[in-house]
Amino acid sequence: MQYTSAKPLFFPVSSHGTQNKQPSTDEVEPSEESRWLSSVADGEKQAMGLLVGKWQEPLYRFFYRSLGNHADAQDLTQKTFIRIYKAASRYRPSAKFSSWLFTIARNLLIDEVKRKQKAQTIEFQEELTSMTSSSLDGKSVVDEWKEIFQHVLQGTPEKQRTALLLRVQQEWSYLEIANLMEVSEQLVKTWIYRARQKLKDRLKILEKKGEL
Amino acid sequence: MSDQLDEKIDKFLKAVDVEIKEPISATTIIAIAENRRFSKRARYTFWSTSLAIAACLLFLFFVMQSKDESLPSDSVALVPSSILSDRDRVLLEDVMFFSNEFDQSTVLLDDETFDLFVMLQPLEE
Repeated sequence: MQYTSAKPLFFPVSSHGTQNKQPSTDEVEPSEESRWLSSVADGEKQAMGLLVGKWQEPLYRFFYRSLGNHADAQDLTQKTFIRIYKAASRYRPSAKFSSWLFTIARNLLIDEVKRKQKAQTIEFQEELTSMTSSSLDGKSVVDEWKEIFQHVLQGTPEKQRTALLLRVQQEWSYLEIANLMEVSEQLVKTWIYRARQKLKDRLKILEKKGEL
Repeated sequence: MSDQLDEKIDKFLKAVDVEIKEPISATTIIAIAENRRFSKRARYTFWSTSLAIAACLLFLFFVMQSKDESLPSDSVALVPSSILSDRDRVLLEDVMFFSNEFDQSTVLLDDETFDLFVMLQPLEE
């Protein structure tokens, strides 16, 4: 399938109606995902299979680490692919495919976080204070600290969490993250530092207690 | 020490050991997307049809109402001739005839009226 770059650029629009990205002057070399998407737009449904096969795990891990449960991760991964399928005909590779993918994923994540925010903050505080070694009996040491980490991570603001996850999981540059989140590179660095610091502090406490 | 902590944190964040519970199939994604598209279209059709029907009904209602208002008010009071007996009908026709005659009568002039009154006045003995 031949990709035609003459078509107008597609800029992902967030669920809140704002444009997420500024037009890029230099076009990105069409990736295999771009070609798959054009095939999907042309009605070749097998291409969707290739796309799902390649990206479902990274997406799932991103959602899982961010929300801390399998059901939400499964649901949001599926929703992301549904949005991608619907928008396939409008996609133009003005940026990396993964940038577009994670822009959609993040918009869904923000909606989900907002939906859960109230209940989550109350539950989180209660759970974290009551989380002791005795409450985690029956689990391996690794499982214990992972569970504690997960709670600490979920307690950080969504922006810090997303920035940290994109940096570690996707190995994106600060600039790429800044572009996706529409903030300065410096702010991204600060967010990542703060989120990491929270995790480190918790890890140090656990080590001091001898639970690791 | 710090590097070790970072390594542990990165390992946790990468979540390599986390596996998707139910792998997502492209067929499911396509089916859901198409179904939603269809239901969206169906919803749109339903509402547009309902609105069109409501508009037609409203239009008919106003047409009927304006028709009622344009009818002469005394037309309702008209008595069908079929319920009158022959004798009553003849009487009614006569009354109508006389009323026509009264309509055609000429109005007397003031002087003539005066003269008439004088003529009619009984002579005083």
